[in-house]
Amino acid sequence: MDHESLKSIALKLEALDIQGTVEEVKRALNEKIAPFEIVKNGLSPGMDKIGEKYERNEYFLSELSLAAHIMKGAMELLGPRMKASRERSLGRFLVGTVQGDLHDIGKNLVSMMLTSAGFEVYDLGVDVPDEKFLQKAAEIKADFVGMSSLLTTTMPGMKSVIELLKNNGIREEVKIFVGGAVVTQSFADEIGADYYAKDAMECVRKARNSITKGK
Amino acid sequence: MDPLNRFLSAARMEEPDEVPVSLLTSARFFSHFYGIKVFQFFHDPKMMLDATLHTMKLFPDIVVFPGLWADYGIVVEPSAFGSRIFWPENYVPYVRGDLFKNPDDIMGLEPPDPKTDGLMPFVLESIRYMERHAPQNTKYLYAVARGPFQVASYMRGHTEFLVDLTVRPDIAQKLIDVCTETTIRWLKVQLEVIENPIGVYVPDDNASFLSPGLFEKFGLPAYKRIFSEFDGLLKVYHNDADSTHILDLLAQCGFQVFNFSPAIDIGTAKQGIGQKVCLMGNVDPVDVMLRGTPEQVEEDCRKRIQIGGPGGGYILSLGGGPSMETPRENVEALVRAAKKYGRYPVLGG
Repeated sequence: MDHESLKSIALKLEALDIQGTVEEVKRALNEKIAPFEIVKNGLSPGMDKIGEKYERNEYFLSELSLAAHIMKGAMELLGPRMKASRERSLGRFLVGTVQGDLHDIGKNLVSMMLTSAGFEVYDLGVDVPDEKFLQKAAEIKADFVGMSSLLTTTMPGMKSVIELLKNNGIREEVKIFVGGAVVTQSFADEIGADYYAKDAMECVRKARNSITKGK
Repeated sequence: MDPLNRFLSAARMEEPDEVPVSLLTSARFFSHFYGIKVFQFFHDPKMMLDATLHTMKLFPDIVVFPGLWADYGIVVEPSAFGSRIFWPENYVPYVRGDLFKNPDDIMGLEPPDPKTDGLMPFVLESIRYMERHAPQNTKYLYAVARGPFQVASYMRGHTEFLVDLTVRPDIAQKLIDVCTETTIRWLKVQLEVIENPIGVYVPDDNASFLSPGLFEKFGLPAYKRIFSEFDGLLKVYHNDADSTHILDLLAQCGFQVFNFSPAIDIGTAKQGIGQKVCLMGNVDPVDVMLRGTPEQVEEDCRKRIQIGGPGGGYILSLGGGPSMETPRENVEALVRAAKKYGRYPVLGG
């Protein structure tokens, strides 16, 4: 949909205009634009631009975190109205930082980028016990499980979550993403994850592609 | 030249006889090589000292930095403000970034008294113990305090702190000011206890999460203030997050040795900040040291020595601390590489 308000949302978000973004979202809602459209054609293109700026070293973690904050504000307006249109989401994506690990910046950015891309994100937070991943994945019938780790001591937690999902018969129901400073493609292969992503932008790209391609 | 004097020569931006080798070591590494759980390291200063001396003996050609260190991880400073501490059995203690229920409480925050608050007096007692019981030839050399960005992030929450810098700059500035003052006071109180200190050591990774604009506004003044307080001592700064975007600003902060991330191109660092401060790094602790073979470690070190070494002012080290499971053979490969390729004059490769 090529709508003026949606373009404004993208521009305000890209400029990291906190108030401006929220006001434009409110205006779009007043114009009866569907919340799903606001995310897909307003916030999402804005976030894509922010991601590009990060990759070009024009934005840094401080700006990405601010973008996440703005997105959170926008989603508080849109979230309640979107529940009804769940069938239009790209899938349910469970994310969390594994047990013993408290790093949240990367994981928060992944949550935000996935949300803006149209995934339904369930964020378990940090220091998440293996069983919690299993329990929540089963409860929400997750399509994706994303795990983050920034420590060599907590990385093995990713493997044990995968084993737990396997032992409980839901491993094949989900696509597993792993990432974090110490994680590599070879580690992802070794533990049997489906995808490795070096940052939030790559996670979104790979998750989108996985829908069209399958595993 | 002995390893420590070689290290100090490079720190003065000189060419020693050969490129010094140093490892940034902490509780995890010492515990691993001494065969104890990390929690045991913390619970008894004798164990702390024995584990440290044992590891130092294993690698006599390496400057174990900062050497004797009553290391309790990131929790010491937040504990003095009242953060709740968690103690895993085989990892360093941690705090959750949720000290402030109401962010406006930060406006009334005061720096702690290092002699009475949180774990600080306990750390001071461990320093005294190590000083009393260490052998004659092994001195306690550095006062150590985490920098304001790390402490602020661990108290306020990493993401929340980054957002505050733009959304609530008043709160962010106040928190940075109080944490800066804390770093200074905490270093000074340790310096009163350490008999013959040679330096101060300030680790602070979180500063690199700021954009250049935010770092110039909040980071540069804080760091200038900290490092200006300790003239006459060697000032060592560690930050193993990618700081490529703020290297020119870091060069103005007033520290003399920079332990930096493997994400930074060493050639860029050498030509820029490396003209002013001694570079200490930046072999990848995970991909090379933990997962590589000794041959890969040696080859990686050769490249770094040939870029960082010429003209002096370079210490071969990792971009951060070693993982506790780092194979001993890979640590030995570091020393071999320095002997093989680091003899001065070192020519560029």
